[in-house]
Amino acid sequence: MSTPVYTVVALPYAVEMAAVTFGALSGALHATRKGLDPVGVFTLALICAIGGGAIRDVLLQQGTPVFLRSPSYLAIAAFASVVGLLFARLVRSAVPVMNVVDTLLIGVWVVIGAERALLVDLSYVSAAFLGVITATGGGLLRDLLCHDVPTAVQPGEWYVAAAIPAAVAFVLLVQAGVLLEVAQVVTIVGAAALRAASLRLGWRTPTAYDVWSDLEARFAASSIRSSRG
Amino acid sequence: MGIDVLGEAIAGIPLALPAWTQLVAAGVGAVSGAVYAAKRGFDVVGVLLLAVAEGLGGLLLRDTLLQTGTSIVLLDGRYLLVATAAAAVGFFFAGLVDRLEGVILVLDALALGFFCTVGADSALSISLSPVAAVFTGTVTAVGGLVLRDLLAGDAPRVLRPGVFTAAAAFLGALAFVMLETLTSLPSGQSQIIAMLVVFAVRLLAVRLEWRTRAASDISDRVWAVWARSEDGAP
Repeated sequence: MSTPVYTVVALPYAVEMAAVTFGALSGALHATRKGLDPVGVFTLALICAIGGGAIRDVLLQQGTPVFLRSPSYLAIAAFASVVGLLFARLVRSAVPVMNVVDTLLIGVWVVIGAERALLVDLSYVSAAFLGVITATGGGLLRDLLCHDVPTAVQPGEWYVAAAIPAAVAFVLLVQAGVLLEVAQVVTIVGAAALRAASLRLGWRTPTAYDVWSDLEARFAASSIRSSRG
Repeated sequence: MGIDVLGEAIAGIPLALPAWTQLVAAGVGAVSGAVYAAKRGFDVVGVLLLAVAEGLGGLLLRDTLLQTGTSIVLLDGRYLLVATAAAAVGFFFAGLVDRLEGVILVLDALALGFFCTVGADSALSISLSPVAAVFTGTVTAVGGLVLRDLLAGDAPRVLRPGVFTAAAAFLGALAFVMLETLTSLPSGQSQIIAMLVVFAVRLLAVRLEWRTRAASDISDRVWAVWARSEDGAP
């Protein structure tokens, strides 16, 4: 591989570890809500913490996935599942705080994922894609393991829908040569603002709009009218 | 620059068809994934996700299994752009695409044949066994469908009794690998023949309603035959 055309200023390690911890806690919470056993709680904690990154690393094929290279990821998931199992009520009472943190984390994961892709010289499109996968793959895997239709594909709150424009914005800013720290902040704040606005204003993700059938219906209606006229 | 070289090695397209056919084939799959999502009432994210899954899933699975480096789908940004465009088509024109059932059937059959030969060829090109190549070809062809169904929360359709899909891809991959290993035909011609096999099997299956069958247990029948021969022995 040729040398990277730019260097990436990674987010601080502490930020990533905090994100992993929150992901694991929210996974454990989801599992206790679903009434899963300890194995299930640990599995969902791990999947929510590292799932997106694991998919990204498997697709990137740049060696062993990050979550296996450092023991912290698995240790954090184990810790979160113990907390989730024994202190479910405490975790549940922290849900409002966790929702806020979760909203802020969308952009963090997008940045982490997109930067890993840019580091190995992938195109901007692929970097945006891997940013979105990193941010949302965990939730997708969680739903699949619970045998639910993924919330990502159903009309509802903006989550992936906030991650996608944030990822596109991030790679556009990087491409435009904006200072990387600025791009990071814009992405994180942008994703959080989009989700917060959608929640506050009650936006739902749009479903398909069938132009053809719509035109046909209008045409039929107008021809009926003209034949009567 | 480095991307082009890598892409060529992994894409396994030095066959009969020009390189852009792979993009078109991915686009065909992506459109049907997007239309499927639109008709299921999924949101814009679902349409995009299922377009990516069905259009690019087969190639992603192949590259993950073969471990030949970052997938062509990520090395060449055009794949994701094609899938995004396909998602837009599915989002706004699901009704129109539905009308063109016959065209879609033909395009899907061609894409199925294309991907099973490309998948098998890339396995052979890194000296995997013919058996592995048949498997890789089949996975490349139907992996996208499986991923789409999983992400939509359904049991994968290709595993259940129904009109030949994976069976057609398997036959195509088998035909391609046999032609490649047993004859000295150029790969391009093997590819065309195998694609015709898939095309014929798939269209005949739809027209004549050939359906794959559920597993049927024959142990009772075997036991009965064996018991009869025991009785008759003395």
